[in-house]
This record gives sequence, C-alpha cells and structure tokens, in this order.
Amino acid sequence: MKLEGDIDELVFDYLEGNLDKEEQEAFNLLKEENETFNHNVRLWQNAYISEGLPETGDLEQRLMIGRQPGTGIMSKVGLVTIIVGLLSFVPSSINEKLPEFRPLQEEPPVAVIVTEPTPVRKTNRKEFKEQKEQIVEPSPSSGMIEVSEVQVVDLWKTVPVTLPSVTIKALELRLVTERVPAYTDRDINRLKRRQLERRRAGEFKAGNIPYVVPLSSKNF
Amino acid sequence: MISEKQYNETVKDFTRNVYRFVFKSVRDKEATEDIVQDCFMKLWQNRTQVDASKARGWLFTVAHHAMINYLKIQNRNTTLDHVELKAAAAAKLPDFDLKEIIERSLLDLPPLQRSIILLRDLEGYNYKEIGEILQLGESQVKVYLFRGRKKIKDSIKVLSAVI
Repeated sequence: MKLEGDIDELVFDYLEGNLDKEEQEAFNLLKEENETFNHNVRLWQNAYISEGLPETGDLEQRLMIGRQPGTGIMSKVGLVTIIVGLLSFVPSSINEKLPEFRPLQEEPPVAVIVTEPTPVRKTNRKEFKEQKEQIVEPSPSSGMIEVSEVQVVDLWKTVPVTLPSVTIKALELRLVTERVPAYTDRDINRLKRRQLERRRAGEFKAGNIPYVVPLSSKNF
Repeated sequence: MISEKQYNETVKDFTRNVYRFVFKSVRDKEATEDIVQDCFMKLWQNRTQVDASKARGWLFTVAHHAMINYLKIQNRNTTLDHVELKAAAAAKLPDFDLKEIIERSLLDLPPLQRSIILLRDLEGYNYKEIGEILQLGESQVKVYLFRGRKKIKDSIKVLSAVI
C-alpha cells in the first residue's frame, strides 16, 4: 500500500495508532529502508512524555473528609486518656478508701481549745460571756494573728446554771507577719536628698543649669 | 451524587494525578497544592451534581480552568521573570538532557495544547474523553495534539542539533 500525505502527519498517526494494519506494514517497511525517515520517527517518539506519579505528602489526608491529621495511634491514645479521665469522676468503692482530697492551699491557722472537767462553781452570766469573748475572738487591732477556724463550745447552752472553768491547754497558732520596710524619718530624708541631688546633676548635665562657682576668698 | 466515602476514594485515587497534571504547567509546589485543594473543594461543593464515575474527568476539567486562570495572573505579573528564566535556560544549554528539553518545550506550548498532551500521555485518555474534559471536538483534540507534539519534536530537533 502506498502511504500518502505529510510525513509528520503520517508518523503522528502511526505513533497514535491511527493507521490500519496495511498502512502500518507499509510504514514499517519505509522505516527500515529510509534512515532519515527512521531518524524522524525517533524524534517523534521522543516527543512523548512519560513520568511517574509524584509524592503529594499529606495533601491527601488534608483533602479527605472525616479524617484529620494525627489519626491512628495518636487518636487511640487520646481516646484512652479521655476515658481514664472520665473514670476518675465515677464514684466507686476504691475511691471511698482513698484519703480525703485536700486542696493544695496553705492551711489556715487553727486554735485548738481543750476543755477539761473542772469542779462546778457558780459564775456570773455576764462575767462568763466577757470571758468567752476574750478567749475566742482575737483583737482586730493586732492584725498579726489570723484565726479562721475556732472550735467554740457553747457551754452556756449545755450548762445553763453552773459554768466550768475553761482553760486553754494548747494553742497551735501560726503567726502571719508582714514585712514592713524599716524606714525611719532619717532614711526617708536621706533618700529624698539623694533624689534631689540626682535630679540636679541630671539637669546640670543637660545644660539647663549654669555652673555657679561657689563664693570663696580663693577665687578672688 | 457523590457520597463521603466515594469522595474520599476519589481523593485517594486521583490526588496525585491531578497534582502532576497541574504541576507540569504551574511549576510551583504551593500554587499547585492550592489549585488541587480548590479542585477537590469544588468537587465536594458540587457533589450532588457530579456522577461518581465521572469525578476524575470533572476534576481535570476544573484543574485545567484553574491552571489557565493562574497562568493568566502569573503572566500579568511575571513577564520579566519568564524572560530571565528563558535566558538562564539558554545559558545552560550544554547541560540540557532530553527530559529537560521536553519540559522546556512543554512549558512553551499554549496551555490548551499542553493540557491535551498531558492528558493523553500521562493519563491515557482517548480523543473523545479529552474532548469531554476540555469541551472540544475529537477532531480539534487531534489537531491540537498534533501541533503540540510537532512543536516538541521540532524543539528536540533544534536543541539536539545545537548540543
């Protein structure tokens, strides 16, 4: 069979598979016979592109719906952590045995008053009330002792007529002291003086104040 | 209609293909990733209108248009850069191998011809499928493919002679 048309078109059709069987045979024959034609065919063959698929990294994971980065082992670990966390809130017999939860705060100072049975003696009601207030309530003017929790036994109700003598056996107190700067008037005056000197020196340095030569007999 | 599962399968199967198709024209990793993400986002947004069996072709259609838009914007901004790149490529001529010559020739092609060649060579589509993707007739596809290939072949011929 005779091949007709432009050579380039012919080669293109051959490589694209558009030629029928007879045309292909004629083409192959021509290719074997003609070296220039064969070279041209090779050039056309080189014009075809071939390349493997690239690595897209985590792009696929990002594009997927319902899956977030960090799935797999990390999500399982997270799930286990959440379950364990939730279990700690469930009341159980194990938790009952555990020591009572105490917040990590500084415990307030506690005054412990221990009463001892003493021989009964008659006391004036007014006198006792004054005595009780004196013991239990700290003087607000001091401000140095904080008694936030005091066990108070209302003896008046329990023993309406006779009053026991109350003695403080042990007092566990924590003293809260504030550091007050020990500045005296003298210190304050000294600080003020230094501050003033510093300011004057600064002004003099900046040239705001002219230097005045102190009057002295040596200068004349 | 595309379900969530089908969408995820499409992502798994064709992300790399779409990425390769876009990257061949854009030559910028970040821009390519942006375009690919846009394509899949549009697929998900139009999942009710797209048939799952035609998702691949649909993705290439969107990718082709996105790529052309990107190149238009780039051509407006970086004409000078392109000129410099060409000069640099010409300066490096002796180091060119065949693959690099083809890559350069491919970049010099009009986007439509380039897309047709890429869809034909890398994705293995026939003329009819390429026509559906790029909204062209079969004969048009064939003509563009021939012109594109001929340009690449001529580039190879010229540069091979120079080297």
